[in-house]
Amino acid sequence: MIFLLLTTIAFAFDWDASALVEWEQKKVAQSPSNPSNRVLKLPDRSLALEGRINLKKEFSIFAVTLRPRARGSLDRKNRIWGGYSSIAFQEAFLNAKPAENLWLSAGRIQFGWGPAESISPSNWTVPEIQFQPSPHFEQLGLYRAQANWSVGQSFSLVAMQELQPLRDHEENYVIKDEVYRKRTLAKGEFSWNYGSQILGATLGQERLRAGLLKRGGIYSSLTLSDAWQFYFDGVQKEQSKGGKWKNLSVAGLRYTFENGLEIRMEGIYNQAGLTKSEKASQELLLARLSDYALYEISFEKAQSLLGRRYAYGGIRWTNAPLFLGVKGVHNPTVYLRTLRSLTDSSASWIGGLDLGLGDRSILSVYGSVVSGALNSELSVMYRNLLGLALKVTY
Amino acid sequence: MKNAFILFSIFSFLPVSTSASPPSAFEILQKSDRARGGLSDGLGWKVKLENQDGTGAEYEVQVKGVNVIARCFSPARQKGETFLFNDRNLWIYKPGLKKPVSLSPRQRLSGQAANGDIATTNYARDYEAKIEGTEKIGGKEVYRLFLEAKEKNVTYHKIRYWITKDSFLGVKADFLTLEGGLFKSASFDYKHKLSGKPFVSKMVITDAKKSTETTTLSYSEPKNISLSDSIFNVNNLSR
Repeated sequence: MIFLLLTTIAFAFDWDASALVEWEQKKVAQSPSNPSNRVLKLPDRSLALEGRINLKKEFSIFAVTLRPRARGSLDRKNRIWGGYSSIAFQEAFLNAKPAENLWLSAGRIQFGWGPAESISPSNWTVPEIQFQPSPHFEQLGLYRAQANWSVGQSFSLVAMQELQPLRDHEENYVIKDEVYRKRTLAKGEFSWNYGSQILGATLGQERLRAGLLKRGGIYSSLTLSDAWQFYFDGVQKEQSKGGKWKNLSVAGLRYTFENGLEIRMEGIYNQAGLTKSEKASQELLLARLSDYALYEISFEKAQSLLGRRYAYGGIRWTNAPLFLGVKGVHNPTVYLRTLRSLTDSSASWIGGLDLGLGDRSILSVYGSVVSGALNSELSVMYRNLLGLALKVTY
Repeated sequence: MKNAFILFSIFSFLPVSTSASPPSAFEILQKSDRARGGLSDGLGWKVKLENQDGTGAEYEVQVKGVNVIARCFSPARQKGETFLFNDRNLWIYKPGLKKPVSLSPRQRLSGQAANGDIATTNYARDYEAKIEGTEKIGGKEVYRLFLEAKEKNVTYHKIRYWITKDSFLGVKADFLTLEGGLFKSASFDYKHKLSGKPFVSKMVITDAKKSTETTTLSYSEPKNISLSDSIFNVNNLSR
């Protein structure tokens, strides 16, 4: 039966399949939100195997895209080994093109934009913080109905409405249970000079504890020369129904060398974030909370920015001149990213190397180090991490 | 005003010599670009890149004017990677990635064969050309042109380009550094026909310092296709 199903898929769909093996060794942080790893029960060793299939089939004006993922892992949590598994769709959607410039889509869809590397404030359908050490980490798409309407290459309008999520995965420490926030968003984008200058705006709302709150964003990227690009991305968020609006924004500069090495510097301002003294008071409060409350807060912490100001830096070198002449090694990519909280002086560093091996494989070595006090924002989960991954595609 | 009208009338009736005058360097270049996919109203083809060490990649290319989409379908580890060229501006999208990523025009130059080589050829637009002379290659009369980039962000700064006199096909190119030194050479074949005219079938790029280092671009299935401008909008790249 399975063989018949696989054969049907292989003939009917355009497909590729990958197997990912990941080994990670981590030092769990001793933080007030996760004392002695009692709350989150984070693994300090893990060996995971993940199967990823990408399927696409087009029927005249329709197309179906399915990206199922199955993951099994052996994790060591508080010195005890255990086995875990999960199945999820990273994307699963139906796409239709009823008119020349109109696309209609529905399902679990990953759709992003924004010129900055650290955060994308004008897109409030994705978590604020998306720093993941593993280069193979995939963000799950959001259940939504979406319309894309374009006028030529330079103007587009996108409208989306979040749909009630289907339970296609189990909640775990990597994938949190999805909360239906009734997010709506309309985005208009205009580009000129063949896309070298871009200006976009977003408008919409999302449901939080305080009610259905309005959001308005703007983003822009200006290519100043072959080497320099300036960009900005920001959002004004209503904090409570009819209450104050606060700003979350990022501005950055990108410089690219002749050899392809790219450097980014970004500054983040979070008007709703805590000042140094406010954060100290919050840490005192954490000590009195139940484990369940700490668990919820830790997830919140890992998903959103808590402080007022941050600095971000990133270096990426695709096709770096490494391993030259080594047979079978291709497209080496080196990267280093750092986020520093200017509120509590904590910093997170993530670096790695990806190597193409032969036609099918990518070998990745990556690591992460956190600096700052034990109870600082960026060390809420881990102090350091070392990972090794091999992805083989068929 | 009356004088202007008389002058206009006189010049309007002068015989216009079209066939006798030789084509300009710009005209020669423009005609040769068409046989390499430039300035099209909608074209598609497949291109296979093969390096001398057996590595390479295969792309499906769609072109309209200055816009190009190149989707990689081989090797397996790069399958689904899509490059979007809006003129000189470059985007890359990979399945599973949270958003398309903008690349600097400088990254047109990276890759085994430069990303710019996978895209289309618009030498008439990108370069100032002058005819250096004529000579014979393989028994055929050719123009020898010298091209100098109008902007810095093109794939090559200077090119010496040989174009056949009878059919305006670029048969050989020397790619030069800013200082004028040779760093790559290329030769071209035109075994395909598109709308009854020759279309490029092969481009072989050879490193000037190591003649054993070559990249061969083999073109297949060229066809005229109707393409909407909106497919070249970055917001539709992941559809």
